[in-house]
Amino acid sequence: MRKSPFVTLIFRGNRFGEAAMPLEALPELAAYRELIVAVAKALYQGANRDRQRLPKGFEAGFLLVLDRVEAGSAVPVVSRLEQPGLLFPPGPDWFDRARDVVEQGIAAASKGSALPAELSNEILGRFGAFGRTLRDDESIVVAQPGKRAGAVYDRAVRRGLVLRAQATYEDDVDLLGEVRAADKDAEGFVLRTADGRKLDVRTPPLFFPLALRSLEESALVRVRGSGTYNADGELVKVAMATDVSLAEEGEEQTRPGCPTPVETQVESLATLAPGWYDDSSPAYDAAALRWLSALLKGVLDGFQLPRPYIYPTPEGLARAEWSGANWEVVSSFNLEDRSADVMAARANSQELHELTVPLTQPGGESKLGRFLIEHLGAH
Amino acid sequence: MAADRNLLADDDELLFRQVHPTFVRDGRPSSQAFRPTAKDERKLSVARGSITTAATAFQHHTERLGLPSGGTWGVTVGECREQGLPAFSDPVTAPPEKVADPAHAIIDFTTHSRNQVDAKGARLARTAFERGRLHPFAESV
Repeated sequence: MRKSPFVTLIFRGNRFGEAAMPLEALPELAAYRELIVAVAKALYQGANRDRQRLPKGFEAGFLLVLDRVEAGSAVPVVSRLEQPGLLFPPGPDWFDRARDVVEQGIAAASKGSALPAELSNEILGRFGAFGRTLRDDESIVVAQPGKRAGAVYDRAVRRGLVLRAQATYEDDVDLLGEVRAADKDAEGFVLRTADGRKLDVRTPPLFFPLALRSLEESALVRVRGSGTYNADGELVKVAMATDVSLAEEGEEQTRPGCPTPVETQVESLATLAPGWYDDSSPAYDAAALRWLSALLKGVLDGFQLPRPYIYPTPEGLARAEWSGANWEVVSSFNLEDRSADVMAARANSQELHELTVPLTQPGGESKLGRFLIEHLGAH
Repeated sequence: MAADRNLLADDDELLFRQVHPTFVRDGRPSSQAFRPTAKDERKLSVARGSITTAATAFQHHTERLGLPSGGTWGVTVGECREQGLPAFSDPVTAPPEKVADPAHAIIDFTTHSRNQVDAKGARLARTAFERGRLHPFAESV
């Protein structure tokens, strides 16, 4: 069979540094194909409204293969196979058009501009399956065959596309918590996470015995699966658990913190207009927020800290909050003089620790990280 | 300062607090919602659970006062007292205000330093978050 390059997908991120595709990322290729097929069908139907059905062999004639993985991050070159005796239709090729529409849609979504008209709500919903395995610092460049530049698709773009069509979107979850109630008839249980949230978890019967054990013994469990998030990025429920297992030793010390990535939280502050709270509340400076995002990422990664919940303040500070096992910790970042006032209040007494850190001075970030880990580590 | 005769004495009485939508992240209210701002003269406005409900307090805030709210959370009079924070009945009448609110009350932070105010607010927020949002009921709870 003849092969012709169809698309170049450049996977960027630490996992893809060795010009090899991690197995857990391979579903992205199948999800991409499904997306192209769906768009191609929609394009065909839009252009042939008088036809009730698709031409015979429409989908079967679209065969994609992973041709090879090139270096420079992991670059799977996806080629199209031409079946013997099944010629590509003359004139416009619906799948090539679909590829272009998808690329244009991703590019538009990443810039916040209008999407191609061909991307109906039904199609937009299908972006939910593409990019699910991406982590916060990963992206896929969707490029024309033979090219290395194209539209950048990451978790934020995926979320934005799906939310243009529906009120919620699904994403992977990995949670630690205790089961607080279980209902076998409803095939679900309520998980109380380490940060106090209670979430409905739908689960196959297979995991019910473990859920009951957690309920009876207050055992910590790890729940992985598919979560439903609202437009604000709040995890609303676990739509389906794919794994429920006892937590490993030491995991009880790992408080998961806010489910929304720090970068996304910080970016949300940029959307606040002057006067968002009262007449004197200012807007946030984009450069200062980029500084804050980089600072927090470095400190959190360096000290293995849980993600904080990040809020604006009416005075224009950025406020990062953690609910630790025994301490409430609040760090107020002054984005003008680049300093932080940190406060740790013990939850069950009046004990209070404070620190002011100038973050422009050498060692400032380390000082901040040490203070945080002292109060958010296991005690 | 509210008179002592207005001191709330029932430790079990819930005090409802409306939280600005930008102070709610992934269902968690910021602790700044449970401490007074600089303009509040160290008194935090709440609504009394013995007079109103979480839903009515939300409606009063959003519809009658026209202010945004991400939901109603609550702490009890006793939980405030444990933090050294007395709560006082402080009904609002119209006139002089535009909208009356017989359920209005305040949690008094006036005797505490700024840093203590932050710490106590953080502890109250933790308690309120563990209790859960009282209105609208979270779909997941």
